[in-house]
Amino acid sequence: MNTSVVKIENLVKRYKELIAVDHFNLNLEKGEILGLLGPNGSGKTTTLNCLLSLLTYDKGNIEVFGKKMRPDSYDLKKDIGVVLQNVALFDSLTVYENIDFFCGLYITDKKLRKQYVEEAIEFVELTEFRKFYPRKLSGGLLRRLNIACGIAHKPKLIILDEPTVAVDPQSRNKILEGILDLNKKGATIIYTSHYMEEVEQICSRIVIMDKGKNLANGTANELKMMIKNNETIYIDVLNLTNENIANIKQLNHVYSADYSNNQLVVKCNGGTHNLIHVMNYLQDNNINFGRVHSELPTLNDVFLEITGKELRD
Amino acid sequence: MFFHIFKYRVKQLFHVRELIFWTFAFPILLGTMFYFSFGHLLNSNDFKFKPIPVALVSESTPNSPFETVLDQLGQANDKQLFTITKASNNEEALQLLKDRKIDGIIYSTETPTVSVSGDGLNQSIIKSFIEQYLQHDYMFKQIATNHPDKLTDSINLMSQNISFNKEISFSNSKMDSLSQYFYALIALVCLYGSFTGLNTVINIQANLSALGARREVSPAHKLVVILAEFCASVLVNFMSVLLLFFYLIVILKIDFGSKIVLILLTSFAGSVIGVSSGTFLGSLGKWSDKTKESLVMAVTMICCFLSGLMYNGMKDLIEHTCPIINRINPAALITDCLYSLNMYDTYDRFISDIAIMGIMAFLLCIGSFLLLRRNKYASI
Repeated sequence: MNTSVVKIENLVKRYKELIAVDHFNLNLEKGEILGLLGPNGSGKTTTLNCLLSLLTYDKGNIEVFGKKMRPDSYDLKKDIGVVLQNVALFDSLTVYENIDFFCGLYITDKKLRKQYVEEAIEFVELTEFRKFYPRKLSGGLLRRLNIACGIAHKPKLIILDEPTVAVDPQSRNKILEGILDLNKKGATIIYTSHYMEEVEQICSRIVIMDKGKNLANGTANELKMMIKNNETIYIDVLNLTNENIANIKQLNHVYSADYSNNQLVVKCNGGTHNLIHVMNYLQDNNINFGRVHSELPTLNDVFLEITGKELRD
Repeated sequence: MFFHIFKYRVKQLFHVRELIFWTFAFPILLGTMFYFSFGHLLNSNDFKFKPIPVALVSESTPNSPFETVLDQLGQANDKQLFTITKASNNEEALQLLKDRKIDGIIYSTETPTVSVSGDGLNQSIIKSFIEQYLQHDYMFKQIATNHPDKLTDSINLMSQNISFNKEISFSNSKMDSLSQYFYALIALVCLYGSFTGLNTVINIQANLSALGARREVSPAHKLVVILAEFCASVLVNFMSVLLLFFYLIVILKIDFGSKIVLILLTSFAGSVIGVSSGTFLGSLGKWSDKTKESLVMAVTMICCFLSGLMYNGMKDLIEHTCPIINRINPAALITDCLYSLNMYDTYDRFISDIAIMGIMAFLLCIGSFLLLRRNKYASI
């Protein structure tokens, strides 16, 4: 049984000389939350707009629910919910009216639509704001309303394009919790962002994108395993000699040891308990040390290793 | 789906403050300004002639026949032409003229003369009277000299006041040129529908707004969306025209004639053509929404200007120099419909104008749909 919800094959989109999407491939299985991670200008939004048949593209094949996606694929569109990067609401309609309007484009049954709208308002916790107009809402509440308008009709596929941009932390957490909840209720989700923390938090699988290309694909752990660095240890140490540094480099799984400004930075590739081994060495050699902390690799490290640049500008 | 979109579009339009002001309030303000600028001139039946104040200066040997005529014209009755003040000398008369207590000084000499200040209507009447008197005086003297036997008949003939012109009206209606301003105002309100038409396009095109993108990814059929929004826009615009009519006819008591149903039909057709022109202009090209707004504004104001909104004689000028413009200018067609309903008893001109408007609206709607059908964009 074909469980593929979205299939993008060899997608190419050019804007004159600029190749915005460069032979991009993506496969989304039912029930997944797929994170599309990349810096600004990497082609995430362009890819989504091609997927939704808003943009023409030069080459490639796009299928949704096993069928070719076209502008008049109304049978497919009724099962898709979209939350675009820009807030898309009517300023002259209230919160309730906005959600009801957009839900009404998908659900024609009045009674069912009313039920869905009430559930959507409750879902994004805008019950007390239902009669407010958008201009009276904060940025975070606007984003929540934006999401409610995109998911009220309970779609099977939800596409969220950077839904937490310029949002306060409380609203951001609410949004992320809500997305996990939607997934639990059966929705398949594509989530794009340039915030690696969000993607790591909610996505079951991540595609790293830059310059229109699919650079890496896998779970967060799989991606981190791809890079050399598995752990970075920071220790404040006074009076460390070159001999000490050379000896630390000889420890198991240590591939780099640097000392400057009274701080020892040790990088390890694989292994466990690396911190204990380094601290044992310092203790055994009567080397006093202060503050200690260890960092696991982030997706930024993965991105840095693949592309040579930071994920965020 | 249609009624769902229609209902919410009407709700939206009534909540847009700029729309409410420009479509509902501004035409009423402008109509009020027109009324206070021209309104008293429209009620010309109230005009009553007031006898002209003049001073009479008699010479040492006064012109008795002339002064007899003046006395007749100075008597207090329906035909009183002058209010005569007899000045003892020229200086006294000049002082009265300087003090604006009189409009002219008549000198009762062998050949009567007149002195006036300014170029107004009263001054023209005084001069015209003197000229006519002198002409008749010369004529009677010539008849008395050459054909004395015909003198009595000539005097009788002059007394009969025969007119050689006859006024024939085209219809039973009365019309004045200043009503044209109010017709052009109604045309302006109809064409304001172009802004709601443009707003419709902006809200459904993904390359013009985020709202458009959201709506394009929905399963709502584009034709249904366009039709529903179009109908709602026409309804709201037509309501603004009705409100203006109510204000002009009931409050300001402007006379548009008795064919109210046909006037309303004209207004409805005008609203349709206004909204469809805005929709069409909004569908054209890949320009931004701001550029399209400027285009719609420019086209609307040019059409209204050419139909006589700012200069009463413009439509007539166009008719004489380039009449095809009046045949395709929606504002000119609307004003022409209203004019022909008020002026003529037949409907030929009205029907042809309505037919042209109907065809134009139909073509604009078809053109808009064909352009808007393009569902994919090169860039958003």
